[in-house]
Amino acid sequence: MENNMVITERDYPITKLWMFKAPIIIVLMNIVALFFGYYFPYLVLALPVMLIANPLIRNRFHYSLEEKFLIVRQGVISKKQRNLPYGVIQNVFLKQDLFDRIFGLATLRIENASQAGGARDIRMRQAQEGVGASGNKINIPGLKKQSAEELKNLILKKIKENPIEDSQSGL
Amino acid sequence: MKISMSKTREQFPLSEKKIIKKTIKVNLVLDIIVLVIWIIAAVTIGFSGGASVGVLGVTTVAALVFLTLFFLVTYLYQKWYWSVYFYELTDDFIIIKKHPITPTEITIPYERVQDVYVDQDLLDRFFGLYDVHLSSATVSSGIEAHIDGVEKQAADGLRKALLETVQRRISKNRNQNLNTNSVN
Repeated sequence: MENNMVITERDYPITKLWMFKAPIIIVLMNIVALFFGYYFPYLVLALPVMLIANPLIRNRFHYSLEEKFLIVRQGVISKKQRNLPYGVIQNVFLKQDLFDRIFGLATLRIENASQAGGARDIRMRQAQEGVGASGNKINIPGLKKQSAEELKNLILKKIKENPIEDSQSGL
Repeated sequence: MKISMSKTREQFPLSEKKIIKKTIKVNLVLDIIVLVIWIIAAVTIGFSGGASVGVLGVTTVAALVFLTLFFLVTYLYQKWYWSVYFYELTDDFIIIKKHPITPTEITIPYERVQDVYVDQDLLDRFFGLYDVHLSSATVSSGIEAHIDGVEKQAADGLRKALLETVQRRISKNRNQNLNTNSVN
């Protein structure tokens, strides 16, 4: 890939399979529960909502590795743009849960020390596992394992190229 | 089982005693619970005149078989866990990767390390093991970024290596130091 090209979600997209991850898990959970004569009515109700919402969320999620900032734009109804200087990234996190492991997906998580980016979300801890910026995290789920590794290495390279100098803020 | 080696793990090896320690840690609580239930059952049966001693005998054997199997499974899992445990101090980042089934990998730049500390819990003291923790300013790094189960020499070595690198990277003469380092 050319050096001066800006990497975006087009290069390393959230896979289409990600949209069906939660629905598949819900269906499997209900099938297992049915063996015990039970099911989860609220989860079944959430199923159509997810099937509509997930493609929208995926469609409206954009990130780009600009020269100085990692920029994330997201939001279906309420929009959010997050600008993260590379110098202040605290740690980069790559993880796979069981579903990811089976289907060869991975979640990339980039964290800094700020909480303000998601002040509204701090009470709702579950929001931290969502898509995009919330709290001090930027979550990019449902990447192919290979692209997650490549994206991670690109971000690490950016961190290395943009060290903090004197200022602690990185700006 | 293939061990995921790195230069750092060769230099500061993960102790094999960690496998035993973690297996015991997982099994200990369960064993105690089963023992307590067994004692209660035995005492109750003793008071009731010993009518169902045969049932107690069969249940005891079943429980022992179950506990042994559970012990073996946890031992194999911990051995697997120990084999895939990966940590490396590269030039710019600290990488720690673990969990055989659901892998997590954390990468921390040296400049962002806030804290390095070494600790031991009760079983660690018994086995002479140490946990080296390091953390950046995030909660998840505190949870994920530690190197568990190294012996004293390796723990001291890791701590020293980490602190030296962090010190060098955050000092005012950073660029100068980096340059002299690259010349060497």
